[in-house]
Amino acid sequence: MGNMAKTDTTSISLEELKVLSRALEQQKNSIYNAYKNDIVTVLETTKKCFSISGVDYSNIEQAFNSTFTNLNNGYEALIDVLNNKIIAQYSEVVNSLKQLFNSQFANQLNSILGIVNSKK
Amino acid sequence: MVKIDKEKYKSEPMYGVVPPVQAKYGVVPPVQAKYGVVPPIDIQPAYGVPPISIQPAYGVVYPVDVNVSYNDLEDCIARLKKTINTLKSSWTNGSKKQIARIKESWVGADCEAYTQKLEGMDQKVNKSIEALELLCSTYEKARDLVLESQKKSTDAVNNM
Repeated sequence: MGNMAKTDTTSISLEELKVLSRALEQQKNSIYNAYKNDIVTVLETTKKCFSISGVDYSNIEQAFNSTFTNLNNGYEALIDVLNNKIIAQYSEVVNSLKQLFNSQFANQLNSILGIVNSKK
Repeated sequence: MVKIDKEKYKSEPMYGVVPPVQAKYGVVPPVQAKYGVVPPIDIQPAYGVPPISIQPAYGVVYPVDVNVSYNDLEDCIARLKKTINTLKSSWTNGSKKQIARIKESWVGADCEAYTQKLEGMDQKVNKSIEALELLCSTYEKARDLVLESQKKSTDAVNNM
């Protein structure tokens, strides 16, 4: 599948994408937890153990807070698109494709082929 | 009538001279800063984040000019380094693998668009890690600067 031309090909493994979506969620959580549990604590502690008059650490805290919040939101948006747009949309496509090959299609096909294959 | 050579007796400005060491490390004594004499400092902003303001925070009152608790600061630096290493190893490698796996299980124009976005986020994470490294190294430089200054002061006292 990896060697297929990408511009003129559509190929998707929905089950694999569901697994990847969960892995992406775990990674997103791991980075945000690292920020919340470690980096915030370090920034807070540093304010107490290393203070310099004239330097406002709150700017640094705010900058990192906004950075990691933006990262978290960005990954959440990507996971949401993967789950609720891409996987959901292709699931509908798969169902629609299955519907195309329903009993009506089978009867019509049999009817046509029946004429072709008839001994008359 | 006695003529005064104005050039010769021109008074030096009281403010406006930042000692080289402070200027080098971007540390502006409050008096100089008060009179608007601040040496230019290059600060590279973190990716996607507005530059951090380095304007002196007047109104924030600290009991002393510099207060360093070395053991606690060492703990902070060590913890920050550990977090950076964890993020680097688990996130960066994991993310690359994920993008590769997505490309293996999904082919098409929509996949290209998605992985481009994902790679953009990956770059942002890397820049955030870089910003944390800068913070960590700045803590270390600041600690070394204070220790160096302390050593010089001690030497000066001992050499009296």
